[in-house]
Amino acid sequence: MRQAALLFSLLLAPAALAQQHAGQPSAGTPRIHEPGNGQPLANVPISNLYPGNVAASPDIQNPLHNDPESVQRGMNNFIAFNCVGCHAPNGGGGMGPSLSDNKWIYGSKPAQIYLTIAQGRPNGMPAWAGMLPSDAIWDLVSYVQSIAEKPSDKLGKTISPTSPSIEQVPAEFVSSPTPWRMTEPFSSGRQPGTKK
Amino acid sequence: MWRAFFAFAGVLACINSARADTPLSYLSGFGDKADATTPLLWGLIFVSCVVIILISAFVLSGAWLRRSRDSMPTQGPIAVMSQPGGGAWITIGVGVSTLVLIGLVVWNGVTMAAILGPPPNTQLEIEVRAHQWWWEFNYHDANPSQSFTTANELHIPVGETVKFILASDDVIHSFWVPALGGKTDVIPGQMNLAWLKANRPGVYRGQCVEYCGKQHAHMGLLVKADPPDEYTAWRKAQIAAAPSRPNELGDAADLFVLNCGACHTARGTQAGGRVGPDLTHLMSRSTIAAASFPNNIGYLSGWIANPQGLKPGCHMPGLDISAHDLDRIRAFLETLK
Amino acid sequence: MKTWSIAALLCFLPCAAATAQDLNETSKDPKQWVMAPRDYANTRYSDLDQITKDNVAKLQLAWSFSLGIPKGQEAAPLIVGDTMFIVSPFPNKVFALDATSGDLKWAYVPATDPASQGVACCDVVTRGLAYDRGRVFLATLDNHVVAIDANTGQEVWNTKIGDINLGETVTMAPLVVKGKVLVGDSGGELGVRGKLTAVDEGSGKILWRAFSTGPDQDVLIGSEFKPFYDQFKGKDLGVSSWPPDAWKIGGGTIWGWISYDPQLNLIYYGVGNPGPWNPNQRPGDNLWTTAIFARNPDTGQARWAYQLNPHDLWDHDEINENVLLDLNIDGKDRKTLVHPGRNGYMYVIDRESGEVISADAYDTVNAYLGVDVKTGRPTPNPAKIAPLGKPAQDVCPASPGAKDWQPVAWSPRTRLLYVPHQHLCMNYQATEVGYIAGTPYVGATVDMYAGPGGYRGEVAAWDPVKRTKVWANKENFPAWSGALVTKGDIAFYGTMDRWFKAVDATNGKELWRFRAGSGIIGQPVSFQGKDGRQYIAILSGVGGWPGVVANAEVDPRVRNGALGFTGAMQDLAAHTAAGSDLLVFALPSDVAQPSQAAPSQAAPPPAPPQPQPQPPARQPRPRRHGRP
Repeated sequence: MRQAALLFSLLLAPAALAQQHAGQPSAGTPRIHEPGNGQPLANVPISNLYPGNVAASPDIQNPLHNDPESVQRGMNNFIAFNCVGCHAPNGGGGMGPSLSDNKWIYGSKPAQIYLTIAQGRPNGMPAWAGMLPSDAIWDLVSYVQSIAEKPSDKLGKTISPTSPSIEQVPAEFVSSPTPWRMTEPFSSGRQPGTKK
Repeated sequence: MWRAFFAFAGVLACINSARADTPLSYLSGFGDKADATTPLLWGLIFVSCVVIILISAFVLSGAWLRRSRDSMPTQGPIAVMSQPGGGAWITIGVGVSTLVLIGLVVWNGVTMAAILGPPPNTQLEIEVRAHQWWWEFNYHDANPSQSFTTANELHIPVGETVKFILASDDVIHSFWVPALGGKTDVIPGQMNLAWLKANRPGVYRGQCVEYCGKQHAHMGLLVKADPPDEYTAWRKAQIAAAPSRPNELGDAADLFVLNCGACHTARGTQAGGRVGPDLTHLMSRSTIAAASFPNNIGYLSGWIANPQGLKPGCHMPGLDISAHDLDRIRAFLETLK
Repeated sequence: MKTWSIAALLCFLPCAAATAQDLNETSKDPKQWVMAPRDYANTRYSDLDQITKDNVAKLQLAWSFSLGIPKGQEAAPLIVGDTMFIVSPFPNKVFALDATSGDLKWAYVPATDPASQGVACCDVVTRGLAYDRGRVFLATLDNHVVAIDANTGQEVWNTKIGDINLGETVTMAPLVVKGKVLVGDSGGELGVRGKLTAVDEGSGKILWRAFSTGPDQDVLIGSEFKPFYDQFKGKDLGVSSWPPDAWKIGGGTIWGWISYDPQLNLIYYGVGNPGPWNPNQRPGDNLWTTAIFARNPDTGQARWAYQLNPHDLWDHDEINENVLLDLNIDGKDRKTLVHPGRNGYMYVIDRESGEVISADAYDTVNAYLGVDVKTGRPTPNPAKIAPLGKPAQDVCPASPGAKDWQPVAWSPRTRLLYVPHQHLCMNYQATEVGYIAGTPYVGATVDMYAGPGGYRGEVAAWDPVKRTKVWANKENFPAWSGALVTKGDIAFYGTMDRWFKAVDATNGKELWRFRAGSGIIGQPVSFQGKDGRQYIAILSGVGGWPGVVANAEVDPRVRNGALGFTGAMQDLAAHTAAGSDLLVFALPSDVAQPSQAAPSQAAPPPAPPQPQPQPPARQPRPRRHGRP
């Protein structure tokens, strides 16, 4: 009978361990990240004009920048919280401005993107701070930075019958937090090249 | 050796006798589907035991007899002896085993084929969506206004076959209510069918049985088999929107919508999120967090305050809210009867 | 002082005389254009014929006006007496201009909430103003109905009829019927509960409100309700054809056109798509989305309803206009309503009973296999139902339908309907979506592209009796502007690649084209100026759902943008940029008035009765635009 008990305890060990977790937070439990990591988020500038020609620029990193799962969680949030409805799959834009082209109305730094989401912006961006915990917003920041095109040394873009020359593989075929890794020739309004 | 064998048999006996403490026992069934497979289970266990006993007996006796019959030379090579006539034993042994095995395969095939799909004319259809790490149940109905969504606790009418459509949006899960029937995998991008029928009222526990991530072990469900009248009343109550709040709760519903509404639905409020379980009738459920904890004030408060403490890695985030707000949100949740 | 006041009185008398008339009568005056759809029947037919097939080639710009808002210009100018009223996209500025000279009389600038731009699904457009009894009625994007004194530009009252935090906006042109300003709402992509509101034109009080979903009491379905088909009979179908409570966020917005039959005393309008787009989240027929309602304008009570797309799968709103025509069909004179469906079928419906007489495809349709006029139901094409987790492919027409809001014109002379429309197909993947008030409630990943043949738009002439297409002009981009047809048998329309075109109404042959500053998605109108010349007015300024690719921050390389329209409009920005110009055309004076030199010319202008004496100060100056 002792063996039976031993057998049982071996079988049930993972469950028992999990039960132990239930009582106290373990070391791996994510805590809620303070938005500014102790830095004054209120000092993050949204404008590029600084009186006195010196910018107050608190050094605020995305607290989740080392978390490899943050981008994927951000993508889930982007869909679940209806960001996708305005900014479109892969951030192509529509009701809201595009997030795919590395053009940033309210700043490209993580803290600036965080504030844009949290505070909203007057021309139609809702303020999400009340609804989403700060970690969810930081995950969104990770994702939004991931879908933006890599910065270019060119100041502008050319629009002409031959430019742009590429487009993303559309989201109905490929769902990815790094959509710029899959492109194909520009279709000019015709059926996408992706074969079914 | 014999002690180990008796211990194993004892374990089986224990599992079978202490049913109340072993809600996931599959050694006896409580519904048509399980009833069909239980004899198969016991039959196969019996045959397996016989095989083990026979083979053990042959191996042991072989070793024993050889040792007693011949005196081994103490030196030099051991001669390999050839005994004519042994081939017949192999032929007979393999032949008998093959026949038994074929018989078992046929028995197994016939039994499983009989319960493969739901019986024709199955009326009740429930769509099961498996999520990391909870279960969503969409009760379908030809009349759309009689359909509804709930989570983690199924109610089914006793004596009626229920068809399940299984789908997953994330990873592979598996749907299993041992006392009522076997497992069916839940696979993203695919619709699998399952069915169950409970012949006795009661609460049957189910569990995800395909490893699906950190909280796989805490992805449970309860199936409550109700007498038809109770089931009808439950269903009617589920279809209704959440009751209106008593005035003393003030804007607690707004707090709920603001803090919980992006992920949870409570019909009757503006909360319409679909990330987490539908909470319209949360208080009609006896457990929370996928049958992980009893649904009482303590656990409910603890869950809102620190879900990562109770179920580390789950997708419900910690909410950065004051104790006062937490209290009011919990008080609001308690109205979702 | 006394003489001045008499002069002033004289000056205002004509306006008063004109406006005291029944709007229905005024709308028949070919010199004016007093409601966006021209008349209650929504014909957009001008009874002026100074511009003919022979002289239209000489049409030239008479004057222009910049509205200063570089967004989609979908509005129809109104011409009442000598004044033109025009409204800009958000923030919905209103301008009153002298219709002949283009002089600005006044401007009204509402304090429209900038946040409303964030809940407008498809550019911040408006489709026009309404006018009655000396007042101009404006509906702002942020749900205010405003009455403005037509003479002074002063605000008389404003009434809020919706909430942007519930996703509600207004983009349609109001219509005034029997002293009631009728305004619907937009927001079918944001989980709103669609409704039509009747506001008293005198006081601004809300008189009745008819929801598109919910219990009969809210939908204003009562004892008068006599639908033709059985599936529309029964109690509270606006509740029972939905999952519990889904009707509360089920869309069914009203953002298109309203028609009115004064004899039957019924208004007609189409209802938008159910929300969310993902059909799996709303099993059932989802009444009364994508339906046409006939209602009593006095009480709002429904007389009949007909749902075109039960359990809509593709965002096929049916807000398109209902043109009220008396047609002889199979030897019988019938009072009909012609509805160019977004689903690709041209419906001819008995407007007394709601019976579908015919429904024929006028563009490539494979989303449905046809419409059974016996049951009134379309047959969805099972081959286009997507496998789980995969997109449906090559679905035609795409989500904007074979035709969207852009209104058709009907000529009683050619007895043809002039139909500007698009020619698009799409890939469509339904995805799960949660409801968060004030955010999009769509649940679909859409990717549109040019339909078979590689073109994206078409302007067609359709014979609703013979049920055939008489001619069709293909266009590279969707024909997103309205159409106008005149007594001179000329049809006018604009294109998104900046052309304003005049074509022969009988065969579609192009007679004239003008290169505009920006793509055209507006509504052409025609009127007669003080100088006796016939004018054609149109707004230029690309935008709207397809046009955001050129006028907003939309990346043409991401096909699923703009609810999937980016895919079809990727190259638009290489053809046009945003704009906001009102363009007013007329023939040169010497061409316009040959009658002065040769009074016995064969085709004189119709010279409709003109009872109002012109005050001396406003004498027409016919030579003003000509060379001395």
